[in-house]
Amino acid sequence: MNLRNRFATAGLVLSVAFGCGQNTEKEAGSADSVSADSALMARDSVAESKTQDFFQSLPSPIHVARIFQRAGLKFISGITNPASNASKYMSPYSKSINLGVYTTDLAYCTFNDQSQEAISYFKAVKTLTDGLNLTSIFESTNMVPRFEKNIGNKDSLVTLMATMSMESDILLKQTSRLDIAYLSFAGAWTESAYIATQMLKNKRNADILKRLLDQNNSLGKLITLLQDFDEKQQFESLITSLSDIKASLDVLNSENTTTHEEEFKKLTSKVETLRNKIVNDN
Amino acid sequence: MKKILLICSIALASIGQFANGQCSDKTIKRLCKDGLGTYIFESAAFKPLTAFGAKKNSVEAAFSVYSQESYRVLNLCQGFSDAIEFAIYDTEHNLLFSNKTDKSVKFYDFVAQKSGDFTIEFKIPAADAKSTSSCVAFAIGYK
Repeated sequence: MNLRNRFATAGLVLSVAFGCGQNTEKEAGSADSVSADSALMARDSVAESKTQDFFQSLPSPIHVARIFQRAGLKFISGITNPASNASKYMSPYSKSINLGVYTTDLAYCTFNDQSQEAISYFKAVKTLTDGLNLTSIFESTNMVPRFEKNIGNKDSLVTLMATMSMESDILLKQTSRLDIAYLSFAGAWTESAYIATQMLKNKRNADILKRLLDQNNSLGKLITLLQDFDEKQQFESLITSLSDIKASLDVLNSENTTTHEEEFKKLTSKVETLRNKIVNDN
Repeated sequence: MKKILLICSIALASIGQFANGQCSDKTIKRLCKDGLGTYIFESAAFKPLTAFGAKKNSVEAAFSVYSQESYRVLNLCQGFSDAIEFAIYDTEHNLLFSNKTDKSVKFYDFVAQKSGDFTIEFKIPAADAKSTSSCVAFAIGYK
């Protein structure tokens, strides 16, 4: 190893050590979580020198849920991932990606006035953020009691969801835990596409279809961002699935409409397969 | 040799920590709450200027918008010698807004006509090109 490489390696090791020292909550986490978290942190400190997260800003899953609701996406009972599954997700990967799934389910229930289900999903989101050592998202703002207190008041619940979204977005970027941010967005993206395609499968709605096709842009960005982490096998599988979905969205966004019906069926099937894989992956 | 290596590495790591401190989460959150007004937080992006490499005279970032949705783009740049000039471009990269004539203006409100990526561009003053205390930051809000 030459001198330059030695400096770089030592600097990296120390940067990881300093970075971990900044977050006292990590010290209180379980051994398993801390170990998994350390692995994430080590790779993220390498990614920290890059700036993709700055150059490619992703939309809020809560806003996407709002857009679908405005387009006419109604509540379908039983379509969301049961909140009781939250405790089953053990790996950092499944916790991260299902955090996004539950964020979309939370927003979907809130915007459709399903308050009791919304509180279950709020708690599911908390379970997973705690499991990822992101406890401060909820603790700093005493959010769960505030959410329970405002059940039935949609405006207040939306404000609390936005606060949660801000705390999460800024914390993940401040600590450079970008793989959690990207995986969470992947879960949220897939869940919103799943709900939309399931509704469209039974009843066509031009506005919802348009909003679904609009998601192609953020999906393209997400794939680019995830490719930065493609050394992990689980990431590669996810990237392949998302790229396959994007290929269908590309066809549906094209002006050649002759194959649209067939392609929509393919898209629905691809989204359903990925979504079921995500929610059943412990 | 090992001692020199260790000292240099500690110094490098410390500089990195200091630079990151210019984009503190508390400051960004406070600025978001103060600046977004009635808009709901969508996302924020923040990096020390040093993260973009040396001699940068502008920094660009893309953010997703959806047609017919109302947005506020908030300039949260901190630690520069003067107020930062920024510009917003639509999905075809047509200039929609610039605060060139009044750099004290910190935000731009708009309704997106088309879904896609908008671009925000920050002009970095030459005097700050090598600054380790400057933070390039922005936030997006929606209604």
